[in-house]
Amino acid sequence: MFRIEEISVSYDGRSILDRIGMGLEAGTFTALVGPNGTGKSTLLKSVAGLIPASGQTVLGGQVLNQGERLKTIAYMPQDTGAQSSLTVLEVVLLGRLQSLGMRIGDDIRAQAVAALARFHLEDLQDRPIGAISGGQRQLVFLAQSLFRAPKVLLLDEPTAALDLRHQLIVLDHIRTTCADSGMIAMAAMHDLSLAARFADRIVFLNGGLICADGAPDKVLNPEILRQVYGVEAEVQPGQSGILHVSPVRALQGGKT
Amino acid sequence: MATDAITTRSASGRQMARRLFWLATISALLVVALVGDILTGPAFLNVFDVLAALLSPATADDPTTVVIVHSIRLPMSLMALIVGASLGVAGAEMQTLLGNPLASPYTLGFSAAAGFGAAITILFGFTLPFIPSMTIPLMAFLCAGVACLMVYGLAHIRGITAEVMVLAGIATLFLFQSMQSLVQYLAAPEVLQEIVFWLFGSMLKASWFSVTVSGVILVVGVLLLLPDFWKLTALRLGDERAASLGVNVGALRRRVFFVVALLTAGAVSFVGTIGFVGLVAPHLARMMVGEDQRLLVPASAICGGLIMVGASIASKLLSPGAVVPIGIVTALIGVPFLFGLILTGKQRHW
Repeated sequence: MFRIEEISVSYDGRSILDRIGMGLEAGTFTALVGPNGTGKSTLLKSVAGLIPASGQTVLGGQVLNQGERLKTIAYMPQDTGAQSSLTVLEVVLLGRLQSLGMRIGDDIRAQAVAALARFHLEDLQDRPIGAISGGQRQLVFLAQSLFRAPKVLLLDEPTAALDLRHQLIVLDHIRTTCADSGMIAMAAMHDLSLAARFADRIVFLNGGLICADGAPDKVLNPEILRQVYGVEAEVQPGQSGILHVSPVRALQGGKT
Repeated sequence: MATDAITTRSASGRQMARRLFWLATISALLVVALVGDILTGPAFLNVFDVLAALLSPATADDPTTVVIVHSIRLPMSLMALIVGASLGVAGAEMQTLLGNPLASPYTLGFSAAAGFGAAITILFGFTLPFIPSMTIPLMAFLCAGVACLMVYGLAHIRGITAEVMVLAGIATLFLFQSMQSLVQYLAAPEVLQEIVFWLFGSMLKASWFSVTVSGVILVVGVLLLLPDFWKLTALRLGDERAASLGVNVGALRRRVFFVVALLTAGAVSFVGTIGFVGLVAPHLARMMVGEDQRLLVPASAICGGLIMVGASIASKLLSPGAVVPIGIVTALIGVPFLFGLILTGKQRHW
C-alpha cells in the first residue's frame, strides 16, 4: 500500500493543494482527473518530491525520504517534445541514471533494449529521440520509466497528443504492468472515457481538493461532471459494458 | 527472440564503435596537426630534426632545433591545444547548461571581463612585484572571476534557470564590453595598440609556465565534470525530465557553471580573447559522437584543440615572416568547416 498523507502546496500564499490524502493499493491504476489548473500536475510532482510540499508519502508503512522517493517513485512528465539528438537507447538507459558509470555493461544495455522491445521499439534504438514521432517518443519515455522498475509510477497526461492507437497501447501497457508486477500507477488524465476503460479507480480533483473518489462506475455520473467541470454530459455503458462519457454542452455561468 | 536481442545489441555496439572510430581519427589528426604546427614558423625546420628534438632532445644532432622546438614552438603549440580544449569543453557544457546551441563560453561575459582586466592593466601600466609577467593574466583571471560572481549572484537571487543565467550573462557581457571600450577610448595610441593586440588573442604570449597553469586548470575542470557526465547527458532532455530522473538541476547548474568559468578564464587570461572555438568545437563533436557526455567532452576538447592548432598553423602561413594573431584566424578556419558540416549533415544535432 502506498499512502499520500496531508499533501499541501502553496504558491505566493495561494493554496494549490489542501491536505490531499489517499491510499493506493499495489497493482492498481488510478486516474487523476479534473479541470485545467486544478492541481493534478502539482500533486504528482509533489508526491514525486520534485517540488516543495508539506505532508508525506508512505510505502509499506515506511515514510519515504527524498532519496527513497527518487528510488521508488518514477515520474513521467507531459510530452513537450525533445530537441535532443540523444539516441532512443541512451534515453532509456538514463532511466537508471543513478547506477550508470563510465562503462555500461552488456547486461544493463540488454535490459534497456528489452524495455524497448516491450513496445516493439528496439529497431529505433539508434535513432535520435528528436527524430521519431510524438507517439513513439511517448512510448520511449514510458519504456524509460518502466526501465527504472519503480514501485510507484506517476504519469502526467501520458496520452495527450497521441493518436487513438498509441493512447490504447500506452494505457494498456500501464495497466498490464501494474497487474503483472504489483506496480502502483497514477496518471493525470483528461479523457474520462479512457480513464473509465483502463483505470481501477478515478479520483476527481477540483480546486485543490478531492471531490470524488472511487471505481469508475461509482463516480462517473452526470451530477459529478456538472459539479466538477460545469458541463452537461451523458454517461452510458458502451457495448462492452465500459462507461462512455459524452459531453453535451457547457453550462451557463460555469460550474454549479 | 534471443537472436533479436543479439541483433539489437550489436546495432548499438556498431554505433559505439563508429563513435570511438571518430574519436580515434580526430585524436590522430590532432597529433599530426601538432607536429605540423611545431614544424611551421619563420625558421625552417626539418621534420626529422623536429621529431628527434621532441622524442630524444639529449641526443638530437641540431641543438638550435632543440632550443627552437622546446623554448618557443612547443609551448606555443601546447598552449593552442590546451586553450582550444578548454574552450571546447567549456562551450559544450555551456550549451548543455543553457539548452542553447548558440551558447559559448563567452555568452556569460567571462571573456569580456578578462579583456577588461587586461586592458585596464595595460592602460595603467602597473605590474605585480616578483611576478611582473603574470600581472595581465592574473588581472584578466580576477575580472573573469568577478563576472562569474555577478552572473551567479543575479541567478542565485532569481533562480538558477537557463533564462535567468542568459539574461544575467548578457547584462554582464555588455557591462564589461562597454568598460573595455571606455578603457580603449581613454588610452594613448601606443597603449591602445597593445590593448587591441592582447584582445586579438595570440599564442606568442605562451610560456611553459602558462602552459602548466592552463593545463592544470583543464585537467582539474574535466575531473570536476566527470561525476556529472550522466546528469549533464540527462539535462539535454530538459530540466523537468532531468529532475524526474533524480537530477538536482539547480545544484548541477551551479557546479558546472563554476567549472565553465574556471576553464574559460584559464584559457583566455594567458592568450587573450579567442573567439568561435567554444561555439564550433562542441557542434563538430556532437555531429561525430552524439550527446553522451562520456564521448562529447573528450571529442569537444579534441575538436577545440584541432581548430586552435590548425588556426595556429594558418596564422603562421598567412603572412610569411610574421604571425597573424590567432584570434583573427580561428573564425576564418571554423566557419567554413561548420558551414560544410551543416550543409552535408543528414541529421539534426540540436
